[in-house]
Amino acid sequence: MTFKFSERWERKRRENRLLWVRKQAEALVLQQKNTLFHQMVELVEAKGRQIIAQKVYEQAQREQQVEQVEQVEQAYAQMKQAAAQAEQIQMQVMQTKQACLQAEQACLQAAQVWRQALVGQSSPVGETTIIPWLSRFLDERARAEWVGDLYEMRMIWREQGLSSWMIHTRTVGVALQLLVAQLRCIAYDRVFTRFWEKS
Amino acid sequence: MNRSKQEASDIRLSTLEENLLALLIGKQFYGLAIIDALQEVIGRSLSVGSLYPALHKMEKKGLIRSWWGEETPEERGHARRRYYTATGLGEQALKAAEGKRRLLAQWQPAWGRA
Repeated sequence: MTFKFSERWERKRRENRLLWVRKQAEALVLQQKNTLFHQMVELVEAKGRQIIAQKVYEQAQREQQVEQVEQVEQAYAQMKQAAAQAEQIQMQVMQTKQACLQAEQACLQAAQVWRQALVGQSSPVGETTIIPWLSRFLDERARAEWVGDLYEMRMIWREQGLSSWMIHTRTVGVALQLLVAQLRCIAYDRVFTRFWEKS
Repeated sequence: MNRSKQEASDIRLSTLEENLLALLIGKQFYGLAIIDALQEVIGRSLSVGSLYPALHKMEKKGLIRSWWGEETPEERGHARRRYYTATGLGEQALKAAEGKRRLLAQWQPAWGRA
């Protein structure tokens, strides 16, 4: 009887012990499952955040690209506009240049007409037979200086409105004076060289 | 310097040369401009036949110097102008001549002196 009781008690104790262990194991499993669940939730959340971040990043990148493309398109449009303006300005410059050339040509023609009107004939400014004749008797320096002055005098006389024959007469007079002046210079040079430079 | 002054005072200047030096000190002119200036100031026209030999002579004496201008105007038949200006010797010679003239103006005969 005693044996039976003790055996029953022992069995009961073992069963209780097993039950406790089982409950402990079930609690542990439950706890582990709970932890796993939480971890899974966290993982899902993290994945979700990652995906969202990726999406946001991609979206931002797309927006940036779009913005860049817009900027490039805008810059391209501005460049085209500037090119069109430059072309327009170039056209205007060409037109102005052409107008300047035409004005210069007109000015030259007017000056030529004016000179011809002053001379009273279609010959160039200083054309006369006296000056080439005079030049033959003058030395190189006198030819350049004096004949140039004579041309200028004739121009002044024309501007003063003197008639052609008056200009011609005055030219002859000055030419004779220049011939005499040339002789005086030659004479002076000879005297200067012979007497004064020796002393 | 004294020698140069002595040399300058020895140079005899004509009236035309004095006028030309007075015009050309510190300035530069070419032939026709000189004629115009003298005509305007003195009121008497100077012929080219007198001007050019005078300029030639003064240049030989070292009173003036000349050089070619750069411009070649069409109204000159594209000939260059020759510009003239007075040298230091010319300036001194003119001053010496003016000094002599002042002395001459102040001169009195021996019997008139105090």
